[in-house]
Amino acid sequence: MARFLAVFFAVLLLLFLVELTAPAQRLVVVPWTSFLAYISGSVAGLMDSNVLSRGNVLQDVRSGRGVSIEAGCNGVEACIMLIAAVVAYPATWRSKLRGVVAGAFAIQALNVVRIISLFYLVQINAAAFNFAHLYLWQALIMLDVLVVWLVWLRWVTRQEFAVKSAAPAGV
Amino acid sequence: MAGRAFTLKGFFAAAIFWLVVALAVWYPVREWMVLPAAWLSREIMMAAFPGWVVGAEIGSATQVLITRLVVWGPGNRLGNLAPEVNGLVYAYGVPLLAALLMASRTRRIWWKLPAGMLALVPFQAWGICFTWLLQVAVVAGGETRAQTQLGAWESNLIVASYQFGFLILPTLMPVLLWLAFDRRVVARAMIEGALAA
Repeated sequence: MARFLAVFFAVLLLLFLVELTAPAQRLVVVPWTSFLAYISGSVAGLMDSNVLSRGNVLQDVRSGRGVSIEAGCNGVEACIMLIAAVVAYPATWRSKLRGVVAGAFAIQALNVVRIISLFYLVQINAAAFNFAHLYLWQALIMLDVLVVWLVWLRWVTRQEFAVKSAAPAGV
Repeated sequence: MAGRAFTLKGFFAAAIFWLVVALAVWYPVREWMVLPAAWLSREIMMAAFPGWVVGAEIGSATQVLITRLVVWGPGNRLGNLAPEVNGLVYAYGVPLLAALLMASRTRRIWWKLPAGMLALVPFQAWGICFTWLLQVAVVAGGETRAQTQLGAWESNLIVASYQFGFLILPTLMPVLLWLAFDRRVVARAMIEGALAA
């Protein structure tokens, strides 16, 4: 447990500090946030033709109201926490890579649901938007990170036991 | 978890259910729940910066730091800087911790939940203190630098600490505390994987 926590915090801090640097913001975070707004706008646009995405903003063309996707809303920190937890657990690098890719996809998929739900909540009720934005969805995304990590842990254990049971007995 | 087959799906569903319940209980009393962290933040700031921190108003969800720092206000009037922070954005870890403990049916929750709530207070205070410092050293840095003696290096450290306290700690610490109190869910996930092999 001590080794897991040490590696987890080391990777977490390293990735978090890298994320804060200007090149990482310019090359990764800002383009990703705009892409997230575009994806959210495209998904919402399947049911609602009044949704417009521009930069990191998702806007309703009728009311003019919308949401701006900022740091903490783009799922980057959630992915960093997942990467740190996956890297800290003893498994093969191949398993870790699969966990990071599949897990990040799962987190961002839920994040798209979060952005779209917040976009519609802000149209309806500002107090409900604030509650969902500041408290409910923050906790739900972290629950998602935890469950994704647990699902990966179960998968890694299954892989390890499958390999062990298939291996010939030693002499 | 005892007496019922464990599944991750079931745990996730139970955690969402208990999160909604915990938020419903926490929300009406949220301004009381943030008071310990607000009090601790005030004490830390007064101890760390006795030269310019006078005190803090911690009566509601918004905590105001009272300083001796002189800045130009609206209408070109001189006044003392009084940065504000909504402490609630650092306090929702309590319902998250409660939801995880309930969903995993943690034994002896009667002491683990209060102990966890207490353990979260310093991390909430981290968020409050660095939000105040961000406003003092970065937002109003041009006017306060000569008075606080906080240089560029300290300002960068404050920005990084604020971001860490805002984006990482409020959600991470409840999960780590839950893992410290009850690792049965992790063990069951591994057993489930081993049995499926």
